Amino acid sequence: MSHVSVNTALVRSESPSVQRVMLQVLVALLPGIVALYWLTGPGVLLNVVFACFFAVILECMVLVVRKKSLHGEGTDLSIVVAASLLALSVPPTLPFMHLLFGVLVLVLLGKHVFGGLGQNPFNPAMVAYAALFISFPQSMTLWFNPTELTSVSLLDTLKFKTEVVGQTLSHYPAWDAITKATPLEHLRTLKLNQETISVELANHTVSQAPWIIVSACFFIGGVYLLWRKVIQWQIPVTVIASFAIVSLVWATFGTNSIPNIGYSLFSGALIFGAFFIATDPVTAASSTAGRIVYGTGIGLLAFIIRYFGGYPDGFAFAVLLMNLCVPTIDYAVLKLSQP
Amino acid sequence: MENSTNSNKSLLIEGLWTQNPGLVKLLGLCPLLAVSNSAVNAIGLGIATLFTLLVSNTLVSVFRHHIHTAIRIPLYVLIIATTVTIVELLMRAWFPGMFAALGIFLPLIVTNCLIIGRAEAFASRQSVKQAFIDGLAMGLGFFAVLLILGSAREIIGQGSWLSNANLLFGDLASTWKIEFFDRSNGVLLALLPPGAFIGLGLMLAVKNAIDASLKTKRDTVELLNQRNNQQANT
Amino acid sequence: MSTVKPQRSGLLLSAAVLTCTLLIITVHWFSEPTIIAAQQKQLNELLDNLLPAKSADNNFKDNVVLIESEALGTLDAQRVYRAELNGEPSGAIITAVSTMGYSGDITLLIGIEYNGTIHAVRVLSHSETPGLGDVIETQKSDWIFKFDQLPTAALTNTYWAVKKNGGEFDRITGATITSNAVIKAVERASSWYRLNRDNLHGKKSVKLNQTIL
Repeated sequence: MSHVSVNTALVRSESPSVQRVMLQVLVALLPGIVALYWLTGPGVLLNVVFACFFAVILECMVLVVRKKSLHGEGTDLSIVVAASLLALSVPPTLPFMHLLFGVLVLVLLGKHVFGGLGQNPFNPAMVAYAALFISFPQSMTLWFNPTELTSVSLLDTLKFKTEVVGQTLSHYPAWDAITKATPLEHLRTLKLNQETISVELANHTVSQAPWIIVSACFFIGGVYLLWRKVIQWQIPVTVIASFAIVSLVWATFGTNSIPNIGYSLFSGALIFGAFFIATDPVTAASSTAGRIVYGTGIGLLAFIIRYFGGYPDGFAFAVLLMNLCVPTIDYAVLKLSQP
Repeated sequence: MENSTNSNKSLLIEGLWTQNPGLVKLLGLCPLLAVSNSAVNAIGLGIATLFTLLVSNTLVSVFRHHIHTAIRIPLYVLIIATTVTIVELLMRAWFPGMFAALGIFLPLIVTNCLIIGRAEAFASRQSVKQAFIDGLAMGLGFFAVLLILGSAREIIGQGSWLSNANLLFGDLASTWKIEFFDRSNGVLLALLPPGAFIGLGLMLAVKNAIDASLKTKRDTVELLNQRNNQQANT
Repeated sequence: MSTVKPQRSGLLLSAAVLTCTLLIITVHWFSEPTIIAAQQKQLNELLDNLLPAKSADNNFKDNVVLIESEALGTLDAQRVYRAELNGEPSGAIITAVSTMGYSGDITLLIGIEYNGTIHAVRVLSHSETPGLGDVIETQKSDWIFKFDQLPTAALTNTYWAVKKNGGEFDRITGATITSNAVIKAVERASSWYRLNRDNLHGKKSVKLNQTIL
């Protein structure tokens, strides 16, 4: 577990620089946030503001209870980044109560149970996402239909997010009409109904274009992080490459049940996750070789879970599973590099 | 090994707190985690385990002078397996709903290391009375952890407590269910297997925190006493 | 302990085995009738809800045929319980499987009257996602009651889908796949029954060893 202590030392000794790094991550998220706002309405902004607000309050409360200074972890913005990542992963329709549960899990079970920043083996935002997904699968799979945007005002969204907790959507017929499965879920339905996907895509029944723009915006943010040397290239490149290669191989030799490669790469959380989630320095492998193994593992697992698992998109579970392997990867790299 | 002059009180404290099978010895975790998804399931398995532990501890202690070391393990297994089989048959006949809910974990009490562990480590060297009380204490300790975990998971996961009590306590008990909020608002995570692990982990943390704060208090008192004694001496 | 002789240990062990076996035999002997009665009661409670009260005067729980047909979702033999009233066929309870669920098979019990009207549908086993697809269970939602009293003989093909896909059923929020899987399985099984009911009720029944499904 040597990498943990190394990371901790890094984090503790250079707290101002941690703050600067976190600020750059937030800046890099901006294009994606704007794109999501354009695509899904004000819900995403409400999510970010709400999640960050409660995460900071909760973080300060925990630090007081743990008798720690508010000036290290309290002001280094890391909790704001984690909360923003969670807020961008969940649907804009998610009720506030459920988001609050997610923030509680993020701060308490994701971070402080293990001893705070630098000690957590799992990516806190993904721990919270997985807990939310397993706990409230109905509200976690509910997205606005991108083409019906004009009818979703800020006030309506607020009302929905405070009132809908625990209600089935049949009580809200107006909302049932404008919510829709994401393209990935839609494909999943088609596959199981044994229709061919290519026909469906040609008919444009799934509006894919808006989601490509969202992924492209997150891609721009990711390139910015690479340019500012906040993240290294190995993880995002290997995540995307391994996912693309298995998709390609499967589409060529396997059964005809997965969509083409461009579609695969730009749907779901792949681009966002490859640059912003998998690269978390605390929970990723720490050596160059280790990062390559780690990224490849995430890409492969994400492919397997997305197309063969029980949930439409498996990026969160792929990251958590590879987080679990990080100590082994680091140990193996250490052993192999000094024979 | 164990002190032969264990008082009944200290045996009970050991089973329920300091040597608790669920929180300290971490024995029998498989049924503990699997069946604790509702309070009634937890009570059902808790009672079955408690009963098995009482019978096996008592019988092992009764025959302890006649059992040669070489054959002690087969004999313990025989006693435990017989008890569990009888419990299983009785439950199938008179509590079929409970039997269906507990599933494989009822016959699996045979393999609960808590039971053979107490037979080997305690009952085989203590008087019948002490073995009986130890079985009671350990069984109650296991029962308490099951009940707390089961209740917490049921309340958080589906907003109710003691649902399906009629499976165990007859039709009159179907009104015992307390509903805190609607099932659709429940945190599903608590009902699923990860919820069991997280729940038990948090219980362990709380117990350790309580122990730590008790220890600090004790140490402070001791330190003060020592100082007072020193002052008195000088 | 060392004073005990090995021979005595052997005898003791044998005696213990004998005692334990006798004990279990005794308990088994006096609890067996209750166990069988309890199992029968569980099965009856399940099956009695699937056909209208007083619609059968035969012992339909034992009047079983095994059917291998793709219409029941799988080529494994599925049980069909046949009910009769005054010697005339009055309905059947069909076990059917859907392989189109979100994860794994969904096994259904479909109670259908002779005229093709469904009395009730229940889920025997499934492994759908908790919180989404599992609301097909009666204790989690009343969605499955939508099939009650459905006169299948009078329905067109387009009826059998969720409203979103042009059919007449409400979908389970977030679980369109599960809803469709159940709907399609019930559609296939009920149309199979309407086509084959006379042949089915003429068949010789089989004796089943297990009393529980």
